[in-house]
Amino acid sequence: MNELLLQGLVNGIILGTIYALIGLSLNVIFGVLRVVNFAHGEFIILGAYGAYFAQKLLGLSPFLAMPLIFLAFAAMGYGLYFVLIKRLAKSDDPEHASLLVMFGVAIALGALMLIFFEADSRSLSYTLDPPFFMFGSVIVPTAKLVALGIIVVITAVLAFFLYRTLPGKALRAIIMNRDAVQIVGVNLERMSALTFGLGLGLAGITGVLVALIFPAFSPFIGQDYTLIGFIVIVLGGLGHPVGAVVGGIIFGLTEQTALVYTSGTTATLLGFLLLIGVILVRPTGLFGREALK
Amino acid sequence: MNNPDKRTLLKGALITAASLLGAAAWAADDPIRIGMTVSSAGNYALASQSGVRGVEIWVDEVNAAGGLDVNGEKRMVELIKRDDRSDKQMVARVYEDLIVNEDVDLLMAPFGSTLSAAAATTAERLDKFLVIWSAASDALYAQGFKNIVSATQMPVSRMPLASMDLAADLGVKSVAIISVDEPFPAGLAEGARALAEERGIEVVMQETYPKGAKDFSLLLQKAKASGAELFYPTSYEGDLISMVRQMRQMNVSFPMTYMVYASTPQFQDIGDDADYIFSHTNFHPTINWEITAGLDREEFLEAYERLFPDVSYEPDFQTILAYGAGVVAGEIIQNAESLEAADLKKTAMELSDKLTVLAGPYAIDETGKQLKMPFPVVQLQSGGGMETVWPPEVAVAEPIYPIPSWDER
Repeated sequence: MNELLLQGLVNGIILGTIYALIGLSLNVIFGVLRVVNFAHGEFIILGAYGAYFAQKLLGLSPFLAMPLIFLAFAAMGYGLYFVLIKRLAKSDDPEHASLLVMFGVAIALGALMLIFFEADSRSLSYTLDPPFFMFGSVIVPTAKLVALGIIVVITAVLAFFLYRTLPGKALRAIIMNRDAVQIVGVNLERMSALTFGLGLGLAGITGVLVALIFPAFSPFIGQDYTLIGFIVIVLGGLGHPVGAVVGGIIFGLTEQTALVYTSGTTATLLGFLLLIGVILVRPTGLFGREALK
Repeated sequence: MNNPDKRTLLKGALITAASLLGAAAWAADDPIRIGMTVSSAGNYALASQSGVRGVEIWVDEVNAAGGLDVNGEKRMVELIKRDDRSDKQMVARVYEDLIVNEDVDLLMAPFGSTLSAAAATTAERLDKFLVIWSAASDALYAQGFKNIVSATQMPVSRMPLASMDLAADLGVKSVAIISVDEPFPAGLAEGARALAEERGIEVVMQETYPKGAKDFSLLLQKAKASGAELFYPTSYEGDLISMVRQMRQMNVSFPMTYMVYASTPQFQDIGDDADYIFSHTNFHPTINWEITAGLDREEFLEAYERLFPDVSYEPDFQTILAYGAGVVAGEIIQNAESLEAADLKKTAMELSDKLTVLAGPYAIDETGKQLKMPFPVVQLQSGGGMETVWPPEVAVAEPIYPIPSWDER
């Protein structure tokens, strides 16, 4: 059992980082734009299909496709901002309106994927040699290690962008005080479009990583990832980038260690109980601040 | 008292003869009317339409041969199709209309357990015989319906029958069963557990996981740690693909792995990782039962191409089940004393274990539950494609057992 527990802990951390990445992109969008992106999971699955077709039609490996998918999704997000999100500001309650609009986008995107990609489950075809590494008695698939490495790099680059560059600082400033940044001359509209582009670009990359780690995907499973994303950001704190990382790892660890001792159904239940516990004790999430509200 | 004259007698005789001849001619022209619903829309549309094509092939086959032989008379078959739009309330209404207003002689069920249960309730109330071809829910057959027969579809609890027979034959001693927490996979898992225990195979692990689970690596390792020789997940295709990929990634292998949906083209699309996995199907070039009624596989395919040249789908297992159910229905009608529900059910029981159709051997119990029609076990054999390995009546290749571990491939 100890070996399995160790395996569970390692698995929990790795899965936690991918959960964190899902939450991170969701949180960037929510933090800056106050947009509840209910279609996040569908964009992730679209990213997975992007890698699938890049491989099938262009012969590109998923790893090479990743930067291309990021750019394509970022451009799509930048454009979508002006089509969808900008109009929400005119609503009486932009946050709730965004939830409804993005819920509609989720349904439409799921249906479009069903029409174009069909209902069958797909899987990326790739081999990594060796397929796994042994660390004592713990076995870690190479795919998960590579994904972990990519997530660490993405998170580091994102942290550098947010904390060390001027646009990143402006972006964080928008999270803190939306009105004040306009007074100091930040182009809110351009920054907002950039943020939505960044969020969708990250969703696209997440889709490729998800397809590497959780091999099968179909048009129907987007909502599963949206749910994971929301659990993670509620745990970590709405709108807080670091909170998403911590929330993801805590959720992953809870789920995977519980799985060692109980069934999958009970383990998931425990993950949700953790969420309810955090909401009861600390409603703003582990890293949330009242001020953010 | 006046004696009738010769002319009157002759007239009377002629009238009687004419009316008798007319009645006989009417009987010969009177087709056997069979009612069923098809889903033009909704969740069941695709499967339902796949199925009805099977019934239509049977009707065409019967009518081309001059009809069914009913009490010494040839009677054609007329299929009365109605739409149910995958709606169980509509099924109940339409089946009532078919019985009361269309005066059908016999009913073919709609697709699936939900709609078949609605049709069975109506058939029972109005005392009409219902032939089922796709309802796999065990609960349907436990409700005491007297007028139903599952002609070709075995219930969920018996679907693991052939695979467990094969496992026992191969000397498998232990099994790990995992399933997604949904009715059909959970029913399969329960059936697998019961059938394994009956065969002395120890169930060393049985677990469920929630729908939407994405990572199976820990579950796979738990199954491996349980020491199971047979790994038996009863989930849907997407989860099974993830499991196989992660089995390779985690170097987890079992002497025998059985996956219900591994026989689908979508599953095989994953490439070499799908090799050696056992699965089941009822329609494959290597599955050829010794048929005692109806068309064989090649004749069936020829009929399908002739009748449905514009349909973009190949016949699938639903088409085979529905066609087989039509053939069984025809045999029941030809052997029954009348078309009354009780007589048809009595004959259905008498024919049990005496018929083999395209879908396999037919046998039922008094609840109407199908006991045979096993989906033969196939194995994806490296290089050779999918081969039928069980039961012996249709097997064309030896099972590769134990399955080579990942590093031996």
